[in-house]
Amino acid sequence: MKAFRIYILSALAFALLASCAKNIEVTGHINNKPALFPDIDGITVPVNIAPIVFTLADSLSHDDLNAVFSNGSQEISVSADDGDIRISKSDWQELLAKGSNIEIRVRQLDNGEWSEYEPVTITVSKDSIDPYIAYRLIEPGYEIWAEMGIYQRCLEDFDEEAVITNKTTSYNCMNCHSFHNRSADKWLFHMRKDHGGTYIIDNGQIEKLNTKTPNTISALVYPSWHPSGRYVAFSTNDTKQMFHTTDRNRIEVFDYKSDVVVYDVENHTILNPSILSREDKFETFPTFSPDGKTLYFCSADSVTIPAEYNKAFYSLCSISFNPDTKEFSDSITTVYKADSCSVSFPRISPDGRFLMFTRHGYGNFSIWHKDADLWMINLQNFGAAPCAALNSDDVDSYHSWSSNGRWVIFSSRRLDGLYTRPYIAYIDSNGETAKPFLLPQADTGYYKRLMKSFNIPEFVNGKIKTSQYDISSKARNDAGIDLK
Amino acid sequence: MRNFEFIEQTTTFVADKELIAERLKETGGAARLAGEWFVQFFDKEWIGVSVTIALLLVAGWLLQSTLRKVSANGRWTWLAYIALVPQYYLHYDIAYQYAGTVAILIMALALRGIFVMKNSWCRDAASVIAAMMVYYLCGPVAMLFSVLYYILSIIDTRHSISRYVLPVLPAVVVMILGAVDVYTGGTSSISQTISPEGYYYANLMTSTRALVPWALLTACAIICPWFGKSNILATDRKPVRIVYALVSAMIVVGTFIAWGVKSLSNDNEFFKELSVLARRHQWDEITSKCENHNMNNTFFQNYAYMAWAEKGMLDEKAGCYPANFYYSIISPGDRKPYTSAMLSDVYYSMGHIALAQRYAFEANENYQNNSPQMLQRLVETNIIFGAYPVAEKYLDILSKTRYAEWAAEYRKLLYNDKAVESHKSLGEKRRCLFPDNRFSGIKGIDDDLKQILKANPKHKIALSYLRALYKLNGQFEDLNKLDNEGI
Repeated sequence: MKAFRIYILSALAFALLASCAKNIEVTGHINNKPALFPDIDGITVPVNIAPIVFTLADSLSHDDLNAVFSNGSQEISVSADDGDIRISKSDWQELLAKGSNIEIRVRQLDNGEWSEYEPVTITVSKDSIDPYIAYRLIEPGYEIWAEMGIYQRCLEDFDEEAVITNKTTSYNCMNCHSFHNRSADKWLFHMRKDHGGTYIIDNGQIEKLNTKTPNTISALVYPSWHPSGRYVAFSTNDTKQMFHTTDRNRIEVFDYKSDVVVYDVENHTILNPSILSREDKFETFPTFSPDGKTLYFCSADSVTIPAEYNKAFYSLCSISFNPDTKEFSDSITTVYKADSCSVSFPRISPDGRFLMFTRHGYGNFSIWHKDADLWMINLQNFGAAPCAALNSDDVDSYHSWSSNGRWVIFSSRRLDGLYTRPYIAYIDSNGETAKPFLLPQADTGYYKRLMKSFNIPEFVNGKIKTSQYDISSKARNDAGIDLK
Repeated sequence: MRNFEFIEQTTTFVADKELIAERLKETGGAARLAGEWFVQFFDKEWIGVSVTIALLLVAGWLLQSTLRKVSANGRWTWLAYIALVPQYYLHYDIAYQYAGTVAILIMALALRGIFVMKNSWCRDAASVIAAMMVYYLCGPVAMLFSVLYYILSIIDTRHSISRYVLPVLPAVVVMILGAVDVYTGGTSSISQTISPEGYYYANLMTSTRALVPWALLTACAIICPWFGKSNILATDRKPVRIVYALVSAMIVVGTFIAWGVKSLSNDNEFFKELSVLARRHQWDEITSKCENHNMNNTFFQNYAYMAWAEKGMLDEKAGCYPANFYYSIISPGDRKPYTSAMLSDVYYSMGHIALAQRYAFEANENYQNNSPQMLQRLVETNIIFGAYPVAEKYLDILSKTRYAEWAAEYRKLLYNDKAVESHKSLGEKRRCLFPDNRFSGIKGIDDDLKQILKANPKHKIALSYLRALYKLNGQFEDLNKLDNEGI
């Protein structure tokens, strides 16, 4: 009786599988490549990325969809599931493991006839990518906010998890998460308003810092860890925002004043060198070089704000730093002189050879500047050029490098002009960038549904394990350490 | 009153498979989804009133039926309906979500289902599973389920262990689930997971009033079986029973009316009414209703002056309500979504599209990005600005709601400047966009209005707002200058 049941079940399972596997006979050919969402033709992906889910663009009507993935001799046919081509994780990993190009032949059914498009190609890079990214999800809003949080996402699958959300902290504002050498165990972020402070998490130990001091403009803002983990450079900014009446940029965020300081993690003290807090300059966006001996930052001649908001042009500067003596040199070098343009978010590749920055017309808050593009400086010859493959007609901004320096993740508003989405791009050893791809999601409707922006995407080398409860308890119950 | 019509403006049901799946993963997601599903039909007040009363009557009937199960007789079980009266009126609190009532209904259903079982051991086991399911589907109401179950079990059960110890388990399980939710960051405090606080909009003020129906239902669970055992009003005579039923029904209805009279704020309801009327462009009705209401409130004045402006009479009517300077026409924001929605209406009316967009965005964000009214406004403002891709995003959402027809109409305007410019309403507003960009209000909102008039001299509402602003602020020199300039 038991054996009989197994036979019946096997027969049913076989019948089910047979009914799922479509026998497609292609009778037509479409002489162009399909318009896909997201755009995947010609992208380069790492060998450990989650499956790329795609569909035909909205404008292309069809009755059904199918795609054949091939990599050498292997062919995998995938039928559309609710309009999406969703290859299984195991099939995808098998294709990636071979490490060469993946060709995808998309077929569509119209009036009972299957037609095939020209194939699209995905290049697979053997350079892997950090397994996680962290980002803040927040509405691209104005003055009032509601729910926001810092999240982590595994790049090898679709799992997303909250690291900390403001549901647990009285709906306050939280921002500027930053990781020491991309470590999931050592990182920081700020909370504003209720439970305000900077939180440093170091191997499960949470420290709450009250970072506003009588000698600084504000609490600590934009961070950059020193590679030793002993220091963190921060800007201090007196920031406001205003709203354009007609300009397509909608919102303008600017600093009335700003300086750069360095926080000594061990002594809870702030180094406030006068050369980085000049009255006649706005200094912001500090970033340490990978060897820890140079601090890069952006600097503009101070102008009257808000009247001259569009005349604040931030150049890229650098200054030598001695981590042993905690001393800065007396001179500042201008690395990239901003003439009628502005530099934001300098970020240096882990090997110290390249510096990527956001270049835009003026000011420092590039996410609201449609002209913002990513540029690269070769630090060996200081030549600067736009990263043409990465840029779009809309905002392309905040970026960070992977641990191996072969990948960058950046924020772009190219999809709808408002909601920031994360794109990942390959960078070869010469600093050449490949066509970026949109962070893969389990279904193609995800970005249309999501009413929040991805803010400050950062690579992380593992899963952040500190619990929300521990962080929020610290926030609620700890008075915090006053900095000296 | 237009309370339920107002609720319909703030939230809606989006028929998107993935979105529904995402919501169902959240604690209480099912009740929230079901609440949104009901609310989408509340574009007529009577529908909202009828549906809410119907849901509560069903919940009352289920609770009454459960109470009958454990009472020696059912004479006092009608008190369950009284306990649900304040639940109805919670929906007049802007911060309270409709999910609260759906949750009560599902809880009542679960409780009734549990008391079908006669064996107390089986019932205790099933109650734990039921409590977990109610918590997962409906959130905090699982604690009310656990409390009611405990009380009714004590009354109904004979075995000593099963009588006092095992019925505690559902409450313990719910406490644990609540604590896990707090620990994993699902919510901020245990009170959000086990009390009606969890049915309030995240960052709006909660009220202890939401505890009243819970407390009354708990009291019913104690009182009804106890009264049932006594001989109070014990009779089997049919006429007496009919009179008794009629009297108890009258008491329920009387309580319903009295509670409403006692608890409803005339001003709150008036605000909601104005908001709904403004959305529907019923300007005559707004002005006539304002004639019979105390107009000390700047929010009321904002709506009333907007109506006068739309009727082309703001200039002559400016100052007809108690003076609040220019706040009478543009109230200062208070970070509440309904105020932001009102300001979006005001700025849209005067042709200040950037600020109309700003306040619409903020209102929608605080309504969990789910307000059809504000999504419609964001479609309008983004189309006016020519920001078609983001307008399309909002249209995609609206096309999965009861506003699909509206969305289809507006979709025709995407990427079609000519169609927008010739559109009766959006074309007029697009012409209000002025070339001299500046930060909104940085030179005074009056200067922004002058720019709007320069760009679109036919937009007389901007002129009437400008003149009203000067009048209300006592800036008569500026008013004269305006006349001399011939604006």
